Amino acid sequence: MSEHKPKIVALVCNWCTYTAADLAGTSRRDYPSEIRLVRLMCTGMIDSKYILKAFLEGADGVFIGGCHPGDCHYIDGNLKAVKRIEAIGIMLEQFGFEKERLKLEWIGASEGPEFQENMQEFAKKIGDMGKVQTADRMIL
Amino acid sequence: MTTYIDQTESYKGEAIKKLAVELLKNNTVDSLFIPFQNSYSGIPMPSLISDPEKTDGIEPIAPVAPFNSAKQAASVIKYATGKKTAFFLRPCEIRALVELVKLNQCTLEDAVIISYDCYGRVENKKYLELLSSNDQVNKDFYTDESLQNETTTTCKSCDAFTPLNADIAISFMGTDQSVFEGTSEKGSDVLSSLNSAIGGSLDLKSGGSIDQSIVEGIKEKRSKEKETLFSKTSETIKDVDSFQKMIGSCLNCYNCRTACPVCYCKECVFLTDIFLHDPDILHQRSIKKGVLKLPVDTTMFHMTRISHISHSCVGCGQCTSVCPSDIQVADMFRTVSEKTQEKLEYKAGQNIEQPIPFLAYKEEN
Amino acid sequence: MDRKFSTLVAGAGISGVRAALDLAELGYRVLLIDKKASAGGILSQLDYQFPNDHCGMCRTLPMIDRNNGAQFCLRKGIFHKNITFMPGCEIETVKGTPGNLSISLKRSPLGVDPEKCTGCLSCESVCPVTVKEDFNGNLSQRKAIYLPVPHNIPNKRVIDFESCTKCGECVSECPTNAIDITKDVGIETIDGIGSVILATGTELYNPDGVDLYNTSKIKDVVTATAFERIMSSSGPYKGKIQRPSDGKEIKKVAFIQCVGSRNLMIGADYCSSVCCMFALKEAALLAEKTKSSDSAIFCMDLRTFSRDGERYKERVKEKGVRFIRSRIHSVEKDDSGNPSISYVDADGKQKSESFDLVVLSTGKSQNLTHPSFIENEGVFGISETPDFKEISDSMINSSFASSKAIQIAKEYDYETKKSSTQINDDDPKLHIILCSCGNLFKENVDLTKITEDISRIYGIGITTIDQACSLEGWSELKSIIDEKGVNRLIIGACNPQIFSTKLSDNSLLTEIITLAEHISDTESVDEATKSILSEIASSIGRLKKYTPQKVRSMNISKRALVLGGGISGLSSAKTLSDSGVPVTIVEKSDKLGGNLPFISDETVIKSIKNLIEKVSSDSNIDILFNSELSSHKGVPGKFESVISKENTELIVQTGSIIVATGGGKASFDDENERVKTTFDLSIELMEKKVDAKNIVMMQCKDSRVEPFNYCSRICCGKALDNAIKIKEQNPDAKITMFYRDIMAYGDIEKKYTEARRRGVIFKRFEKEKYPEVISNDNGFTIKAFDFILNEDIEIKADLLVYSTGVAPQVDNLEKTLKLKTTVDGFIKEVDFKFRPVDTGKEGIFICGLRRNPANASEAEKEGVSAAQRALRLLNSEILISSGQVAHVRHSICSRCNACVTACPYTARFVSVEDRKVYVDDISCQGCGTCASVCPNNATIIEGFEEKGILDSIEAALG
Repeated sequence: MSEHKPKIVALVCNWCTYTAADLAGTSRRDYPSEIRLVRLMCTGMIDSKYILKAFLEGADGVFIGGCHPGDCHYIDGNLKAVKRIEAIGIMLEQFGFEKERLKLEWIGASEGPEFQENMQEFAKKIGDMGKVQTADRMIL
Repeated sequence: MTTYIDQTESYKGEAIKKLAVELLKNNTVDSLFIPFQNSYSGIPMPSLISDPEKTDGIEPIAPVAPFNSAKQAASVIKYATGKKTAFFLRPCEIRALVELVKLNQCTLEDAVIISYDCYGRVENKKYLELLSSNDQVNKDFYTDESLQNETTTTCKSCDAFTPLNADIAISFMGTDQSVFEGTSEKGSDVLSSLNSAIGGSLDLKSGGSIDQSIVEGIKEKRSKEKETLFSKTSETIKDVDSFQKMIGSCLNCYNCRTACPVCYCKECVFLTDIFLHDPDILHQRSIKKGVLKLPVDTTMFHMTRISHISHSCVGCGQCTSVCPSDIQVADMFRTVSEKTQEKLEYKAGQNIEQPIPFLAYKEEN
Repeated sequence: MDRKFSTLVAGAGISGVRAALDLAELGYRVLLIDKKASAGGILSQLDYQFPNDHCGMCRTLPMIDRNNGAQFCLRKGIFHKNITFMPGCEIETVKGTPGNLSISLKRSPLGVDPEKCTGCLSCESVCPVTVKEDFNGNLSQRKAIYLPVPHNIPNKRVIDFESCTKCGECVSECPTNAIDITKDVGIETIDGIGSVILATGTELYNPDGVDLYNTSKIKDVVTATAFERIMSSSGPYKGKIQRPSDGKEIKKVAFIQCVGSRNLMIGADYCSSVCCMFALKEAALLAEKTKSSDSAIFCMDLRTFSRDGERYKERVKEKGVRFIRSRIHSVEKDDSGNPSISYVDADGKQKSESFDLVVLSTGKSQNLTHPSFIENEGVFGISETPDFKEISDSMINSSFASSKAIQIAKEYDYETKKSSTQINDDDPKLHIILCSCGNLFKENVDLTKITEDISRIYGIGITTIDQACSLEGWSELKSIIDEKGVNRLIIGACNPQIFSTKLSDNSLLTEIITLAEHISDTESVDEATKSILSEIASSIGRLKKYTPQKVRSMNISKRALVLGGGISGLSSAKTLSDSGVPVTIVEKSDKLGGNLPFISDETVIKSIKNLIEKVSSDSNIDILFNSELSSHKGVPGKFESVISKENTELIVQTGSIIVATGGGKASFDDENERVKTTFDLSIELMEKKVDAKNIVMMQCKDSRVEPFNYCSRICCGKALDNAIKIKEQNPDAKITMFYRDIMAYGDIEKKYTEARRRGVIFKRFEKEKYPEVISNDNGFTIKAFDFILNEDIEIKADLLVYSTGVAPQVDNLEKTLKLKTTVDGFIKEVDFKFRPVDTGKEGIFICGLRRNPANASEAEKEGVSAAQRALRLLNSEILISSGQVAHVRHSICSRCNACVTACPYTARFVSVEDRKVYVDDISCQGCGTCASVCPNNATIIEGFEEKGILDSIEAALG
């Protein structure tokens, strides 16, 4: 395994995944610290620019965490985000960003352990993939 | 059922022009939206014509398109006014118009769309150059292959050159005639309202025949061109480094986005406060990078634009035509768009009923 | 002096929370107590709910005046400025009169001062006492000092004094002297309380010690709650679905229904109402999570009487879950150590089958009664007896109770308070406060470096507080804010969400960093420091670009429109009028009362007639007969409705609309006078004797089958009433009832028992095989299959009674008001469980038969509940929007209307006048779906500006 410690931006919804992350945090669970949490009210709020920006700024991976389908505080914001995130992944792939670097996962409020597992798994996968092409650079 | 005008000898544009004038004279429509060559502009400009007496300058199929006129067309039919207008558009312009309908930028209620087999266009500058030495260039283009070779890279590699989503389609590829076909109920009604004119000044005859193998032949050739171009472009954008090389000389003039017929924003997000940076941000960035190229956000700009509208890209090539730095924006856009559209199971401008992906939401069960 | 509590709500389960929020949302101050050390009730243990198999509890939170409450997961706790929560409390006595009650509370010590506890865990590590953890269904262990609900915040420990040995180890170990084990139970008296809502719920039946279930000998027999914990990722096995005895993965589960319910032997002559759906949900979850399909539900009837229950059941069946009609004989261990169930199946055969796990669907505990003070004036119970209710029914019942509490609060003029409208528009003045959390952060992070770096790069000051969560720390924090004139604040602490609630003030923008997330055992101080630095940088980026959330206000039309003058409509109108809101009732027919002619219960008839009387004579209520809604426009608080009345049209301006157009008997036609419907028979029986001797009752006629695939909920009860009445009149009458499942939920079970006692014969049939009816000169012959005899039978009848169910009104309102409907045409609420009377369009509410099948008393309560929701809008003259709403920058908006389609609240609309897109501030919840579909930032969310988020991403990665 490489020594490379990946940088991960996690865009998480306020209601579920952030709560799970908080639970993981307060239970003093250990998940890789190179994850930067960005709390948003809903995954439906995620603009494609956030994902682009993260990758261009050298994020090795972007993790998006929202409520399970049917669980969304805002009825269906999470489902509305799915297609948009899929599209941005398709586009990024053509510019040499492997599609595995962008991950969408539903993590419920009580799923602290799931959050931790997901983070560990994602960090490991991204770590194994090696540095992102934009690593340590700032593409503007 | 098709009708046709026999015109072995005459210029293909004549038939279209005749149809246009007839529509206006018969009051079938209130106005025409059609390229018009006036005394002060060498390039035929899309114009809104309502006086049948002032139709002499109509040049419906000159081998030039100063811009993709979908946005201009949309401005005429932003909302229903009851004024019926016949729009003479290239296939790529209709595709863009269809996207604009989906984006709520216009309604086709008052529109009759008329289109034709597109042989392509030459760049504006080139056209003026050709025109200065040959005042018959509009006509000669359709018979002189060397002139046809002057069309843009985009046109040469465009395999969507026959009309789709028009009300009336006019074919002249693979035939010596101009074959008229009502391709929608609206179009058929318009044509039959001109029935009285059959045998009259328009000299429309029933029937008409097209040698589809010729059309297919052209299509095949252009598809091949496209394939070669796309695989070359894929290589050019395969990673961020190569992509940056490609757009290295971008000036942030945003011409490409202004020329883009489906970039429908009144004002681009890159002109809003989000991308107007405070000096301290610029200094912070400079400190982090050591060297900060100005203007900033060029990569972000192009990628954002792709993410915003690549699903709606109709491949008209205008973005390349307007680039002052000769960046092959259209090649990049068309290459990315094709894959994006394929994966999203969506084709820009094709099906007016199919909503734009991620702007339509299915009911949750 | 603090404001007086208008209401004390006892019980902080979902019912209590709903009632407390109802009052708090109107601005009244509420005291919420629970005898447990934490809020949340049983729902804190349940991660998933029917019908979407997920949570959604946060949808209970206020949608208007959001700023007053916390904006995060409700299962973490209830935080609202108007609600004071006191754990460990029970009511001892209630004295005085409504408007001035004096209440004595028995306060059990929690042992730990929450203001001092930092959640450092050192107490737990030294505690020598280990007991079973009831939160996890006794499948895991905890110490005597423990966290009652792991996901609650603040995560403060409490002491379980029942098992504590008072050894004092924790007291000396606690670094902040937060623990006191010397306190005794105290009595505290609070005066001047307006009313009391009793929402103490009920207790679960304890199956331990019952031979039949063998829980003492077989570890793999657990209760349904314990099984829910097994499936929870915060449960005893951290989400690994394994069984208690040997850790084997659970694939095949047997659910035994009616454990402790429908059992005359133990005095439980009732149905606990929720267990069938609960078992179905758990079976579905298990099938989903483990991809297994061989579970079985052992039941007598499967009572899926909620509107969407029948279809849900069929989906569960499709997953391979079996429903076995049976009586359980015993549960034993088989040779391989698996629990094995011996049972007698529907045709009387003795069988047995082994499973990985046996789940007992325990109902409510028997012989529970409300405390005697329930009789006091000003004390309102959520239910007549301690009872289990499906969540939506609980919510409706809670609001029914809270509406009475509100009447008192209004009558006695209790002070109300809503969120402030103050806006701080000044230039950003940032400050950072880091909590060193005892020694934890001092040891693991280089705080000096952080302070220096931030000051050097950003010129922003940092103050370190020793324990920000302590009382001293909190006052220090507040004085720093005042001293430095700070208007934007970054707080870094171990558990900072608590501060967001405490500081939720419009004039102070806060960003919160969870420091604990950056510290781990495997990483160095340098790394933790770097990581915290980058998070602070990221927060600075975002906070700098935030604009203060502007609060807008709007005058409202203080009037409600009630569509329908039936039972639910009448009760809605009455509740609103009693709260001082004028009402216009629009009634299609020429009289009030709706389904009154089909009701046979004298008391119910009397109460409805009484209601009609009151509404008719209420000068605050206008009634338009022979009229209908023809069109509608406007925003919540200002709706404009056009009512057509006998060829004329009139316009009514109202702040809110209540849809109560009801429904009625499903259509049924039979010329034969010896054929009747259950409804018609019940009316006939009021007047005269039925002379028939052989009566056959056929349930579920054209019901619970496509296209009417739902249970009508009221027919079984009515049919049982009819049967009992006939038997009373003529004990010799022979009555046979063909049924699929007798939906005798709650106390209707008593009628079922009574009918059987009186000799009514019950014969079950399968959905696919509706009994065949042959009519002849003497009456009818009914051909069916008898499951007990296992053969075809024929029964002769001279009277045939069909239960034909109910259907919603066909009124096109879903189109006029743009509401969603179920496949069966009922108008759909936005969240079946947690917002049962909200349509999803703010200001428009739904109740009664137009929403779901309901009996008269249920419909009445729904009506009140809907009125209660409408009151949030109508109780004041001015509506104030919460900050963080979307708004449109018209100068750059291209009007593609993508945002209008995307908005989940229909808070956006295109103006007919200027074709521009507008946002209704009251409906907008600030979710930002509109902003993300807008390509050029023409729509923005206050508080979540894209610029700030982009800058924060840039800073985080820098």
